Amino acid sequence: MNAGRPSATRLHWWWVGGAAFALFAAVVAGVMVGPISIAPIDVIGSMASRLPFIDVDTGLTERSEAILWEIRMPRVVLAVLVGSMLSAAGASYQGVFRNPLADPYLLGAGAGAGLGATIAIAYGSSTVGWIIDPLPLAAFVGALGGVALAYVLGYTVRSGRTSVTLILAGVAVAAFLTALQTFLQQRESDTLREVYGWILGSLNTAGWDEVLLVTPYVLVCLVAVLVGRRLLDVLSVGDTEAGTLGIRPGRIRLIFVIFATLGTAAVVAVSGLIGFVGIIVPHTVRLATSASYRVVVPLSILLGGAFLVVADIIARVAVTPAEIPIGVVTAIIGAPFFAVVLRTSKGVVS
Amino acid sequence: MTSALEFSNIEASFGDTKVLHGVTVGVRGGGWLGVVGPNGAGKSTLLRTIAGSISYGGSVLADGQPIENLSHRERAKIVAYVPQRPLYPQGMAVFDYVLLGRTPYLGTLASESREDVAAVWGSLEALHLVDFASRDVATLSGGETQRVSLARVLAQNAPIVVLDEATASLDVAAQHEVLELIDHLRASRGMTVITAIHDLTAAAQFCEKVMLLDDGRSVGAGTASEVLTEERLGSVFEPSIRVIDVDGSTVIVSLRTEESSS
Repeated sequence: MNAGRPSATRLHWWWVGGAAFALFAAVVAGVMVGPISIAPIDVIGSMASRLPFIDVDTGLTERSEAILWEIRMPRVVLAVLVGSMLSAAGASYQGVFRNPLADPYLLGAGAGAGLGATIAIAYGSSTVGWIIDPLPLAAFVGALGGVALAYVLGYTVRSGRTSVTLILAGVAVAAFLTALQTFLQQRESDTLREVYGWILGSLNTAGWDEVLLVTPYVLVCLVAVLVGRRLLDVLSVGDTEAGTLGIRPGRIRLIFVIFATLGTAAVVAVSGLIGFVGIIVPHTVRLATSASYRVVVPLSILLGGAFLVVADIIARVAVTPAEIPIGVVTAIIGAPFFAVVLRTSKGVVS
Repeated sequence: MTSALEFSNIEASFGDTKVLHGVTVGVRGGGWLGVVGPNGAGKSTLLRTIAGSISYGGSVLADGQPIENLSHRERAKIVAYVPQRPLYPQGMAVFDYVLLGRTPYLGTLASESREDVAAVWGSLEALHLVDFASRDVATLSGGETQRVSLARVLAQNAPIVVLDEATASLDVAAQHEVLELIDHLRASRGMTVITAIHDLTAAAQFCEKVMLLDDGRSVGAGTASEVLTEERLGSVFEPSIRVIDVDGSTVIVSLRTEESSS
């Protein structure tokens, strides 16, 4: 009698459709808003014109087209990539560590990137004329190095290689790297402002360069997390039981941490340490739809991108002509929003 | 499909403390082995060797084949395991929890097929849980969660089922219901069941074979009437244990004596 009966919990098409529409709407809003406003219909028309075999006459001036495609669009696309990646990484970390407070910076990626960026800013002035910009590279290497250090430390603990020892190792590594970073920052106080600005995060772009730099990393990591997401559900019953269900928990955890960290390191390298996205987006999805990672991961990717585009609009327009650091916006609108979600949801955050 | 299971000379240690000293016991395919003994006797450790979650000496044989040689996935197709205190993730739907039983049949990157979904519905139906499919697994009562665990075991479709204290936290009626369910599934599907069990009366009434474990050593294996004698239980537990017959059923109780009440 149950033949052909669908799964009781699954990724409904209207969830995906709704989240994809939210992302599209956010992107259109993101390129509309600015000192020179562009009508939404013209934005959509101009976007459609870029598709093959479609030609829409938008009536946009050449200058408006340039603003749309060379200034605003790269920034909005970068926001989508960063928001999606941080949300997917946050969901992955919460899954593999069975810890609702886990975020992409848990194992020292944030502290490592901060230290790398501080070194690059404080001592990188002599690198003018280098082929590559040392700042993103230093942040990228710092983030990967921090997590690698935490993993080595956590996995050489004699008492056992559990997810808890790994988290504690991450806390120790993060504290150590943050202390080093603070020390450097205080010593080189003339670069303090720049370092501080980087840490709070920014989506300032110069054309499409940053987007092209991070896109390959983000795509690979998002695909990896997406196709393996069912395994996060298996890990949620604990390592012993997960092992008896036919997977190797330690290996699965490592693979997720590698992809989540690689993607996080790439986006942090170009955008700084944007906080809260990795925690509030997956939890909001979880509370609104389902706790299964089969649902949480894809919806977090779509809505994480939308959330960061909206946060960036606020960062740009709230105190024009100045900009609020995006990390401040994600916290200021993210925290109260999340409080409302928590209060109105029936479920409990696990 | 039934599979016999045999523990052959199992030894295990935690640090420098040896907790199992060469335990050997077997159960026929489709049988029910109950492992009884005091707290700390090594019951859970013995069962966890089957789960592959600890390192041990000796061998566990399923139909004569050592399971140590199997991959995690192959082992999971033969043995299903429910620990003493399973983790029921908050917010996870009963359906999703039972679906985890299909893990060994899914490729690492595959998602569930129509057959997997049908197997989950079938398991939910067998345990009268169809109406619970969308409920949060963390909000269920003790008896309901035990049924959910059994549904996951059924979905896993392994011929050998290991239950560590399946009924420890249940009231008398719920315990009886769960044990009857296990026995029904065993009889109807030919599952081989191995349980650690504290309740000696339940062990005597449900288990076809009983092993009494004391301090990491087997001090007797056989039918309940052979193993669970006053003399043996008296030396392993306490002297005041009585084995009595109530309407043809064995009941094992500990009496309060003058000595212990004063």
